[in-house]
Amino acid sequence: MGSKILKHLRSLRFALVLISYLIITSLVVTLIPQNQETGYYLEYFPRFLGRIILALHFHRFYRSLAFLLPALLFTLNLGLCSITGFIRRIRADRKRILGSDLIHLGILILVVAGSLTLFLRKEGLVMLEPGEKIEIEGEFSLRLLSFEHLKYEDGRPKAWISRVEVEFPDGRTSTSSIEVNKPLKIGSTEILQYSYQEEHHLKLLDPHGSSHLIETGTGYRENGRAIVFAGLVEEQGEARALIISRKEQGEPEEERFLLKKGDPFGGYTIEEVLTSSQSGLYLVQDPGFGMVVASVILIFLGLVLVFYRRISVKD
Amino acid sequence: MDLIFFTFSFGVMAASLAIQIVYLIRSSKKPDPFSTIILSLSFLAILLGLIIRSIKIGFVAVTNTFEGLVVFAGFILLALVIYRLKARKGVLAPVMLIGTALSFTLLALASSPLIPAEANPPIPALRSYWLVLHVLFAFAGEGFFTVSFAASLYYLAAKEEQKKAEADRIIYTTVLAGYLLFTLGALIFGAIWAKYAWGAYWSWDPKETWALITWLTYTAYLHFRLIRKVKGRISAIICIIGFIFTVFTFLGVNYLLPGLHSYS
Repeated sequence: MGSKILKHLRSLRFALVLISYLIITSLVVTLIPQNQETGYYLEYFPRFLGRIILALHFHRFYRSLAFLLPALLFTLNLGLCSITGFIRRIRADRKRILGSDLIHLGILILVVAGSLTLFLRKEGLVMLEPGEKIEIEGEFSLRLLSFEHLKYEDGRPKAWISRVEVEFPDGRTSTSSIEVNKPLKIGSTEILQYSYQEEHHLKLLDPHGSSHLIETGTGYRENGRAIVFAGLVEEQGEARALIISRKEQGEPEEERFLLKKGDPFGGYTIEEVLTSSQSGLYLVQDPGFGMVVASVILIFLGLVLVFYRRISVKD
Repeated sequence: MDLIFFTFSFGVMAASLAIQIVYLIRSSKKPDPFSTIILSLSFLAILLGLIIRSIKIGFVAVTNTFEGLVVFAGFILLALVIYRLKARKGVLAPVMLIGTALSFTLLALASSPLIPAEANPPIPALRSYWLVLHVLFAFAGEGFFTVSFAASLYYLAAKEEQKKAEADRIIYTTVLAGYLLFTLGALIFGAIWAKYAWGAYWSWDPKETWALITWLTYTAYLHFRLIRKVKGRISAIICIIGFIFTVFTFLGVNYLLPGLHSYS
């Protein structure tokens, strides 16, 4: 009985059934946006279909039993098939390593690496302005020295470059640049240039000479109207503050003003229109990646071996 | 300037198609003697066009859909020329014709107004030599898959056993070559690029998932062929499905399923 189950578990037929299952389910799952809130599936899919998606966990498919169990069985199948094939060849005194052995071993290591990544990976996005600092406890602190956003002539982004200073617990410091596709690696942490954000502020001077800083989307109330600083608009190469004045009661009525530095506004004067850039740095710790590299090398060597040995075989 | 070369390639390919059709209609026993030279010329024109475009944008021109279509068309031509030069038992003319027609279709699609042909330098995420390897190797593999698709269609239509056996051998050798290149390009180099660009070597993005589906389909084919020794109809059908997945991974995903690869 046991040997029958084992034979079935390591059979090619079982592998092909699992591969077919993984192909079909993965295919279906690409049509379903992943990791959304439960309500999303009930709202954007027909209710019945939404319920099925949720019941089958197809909304978080790659973390669900519907994926993990077949993937585990596939790993088992691959492992058993590789081991028994290898033992059989040793018994038959054919000790030559085959390309398929290396590929299978590589895939098994890749599955382990993937599991480590799935369960142990740590990641987080931080938005820093130049001068700001974050601490990774016991490892290092990172201060953003400068952030550059380079553009092509047509205005499309060319590069985002964060210049950072890293300080280690023993007091050593070093400076580095982080760009998209050029992450910084510090120990087990990788830091990637991930995004950026621009924030605009309006500095207003009141009649008594005091300054007030207001952020985009905020403002004040005056004579039954809401006055809001809505952001910056480029006009004739100069940044202008877009101010929206909205009547709060009665018939809706809205007025828009584009103001520059020095312009009077209500009882205030616009002292300065400020723009600050934030760099989005993504910190990742992935204990599985080293094994991924090892598996990729094995798969590559295995493929080359298969190709080299098979392509010349006449059949 | 680059577009002139692509147009030249298109014209030359059209001429090759016409010649191949004439030879087929005349039921000539031998394939036309011009294809190797004409298709090589067409491939070289594409290569030259891509080099000029790369100089213009200051990066290897493989970063948008237009360039992808042109590169794919070029690799199909290269796979056809290799097949033609390497074929030991004579060339199956219909396989050449289907392959050429598919390459021609890709260039025709690239010239459609729906695909912007402007040569623009890439955005930061695409400025990576891992991306270049990823794209080139994946398309090189897909070029061979296209020939296997052509041979599969021929297999299903052929009546003579000898011709079927020859088509089966073409399917097998081209899938083997394509599988090696596709695995390296689409999966391995793609994963390394993703690690550098987004910090994750695999994200289950629709494009990644479809590339994996394509890879699993050809994996199934190779297991049937190498272990079960299954040849013939089933193998041909799996290869046709694999090619449909290949095309969907390249074009369908870009337009129908949003994800990290929406720009290419």
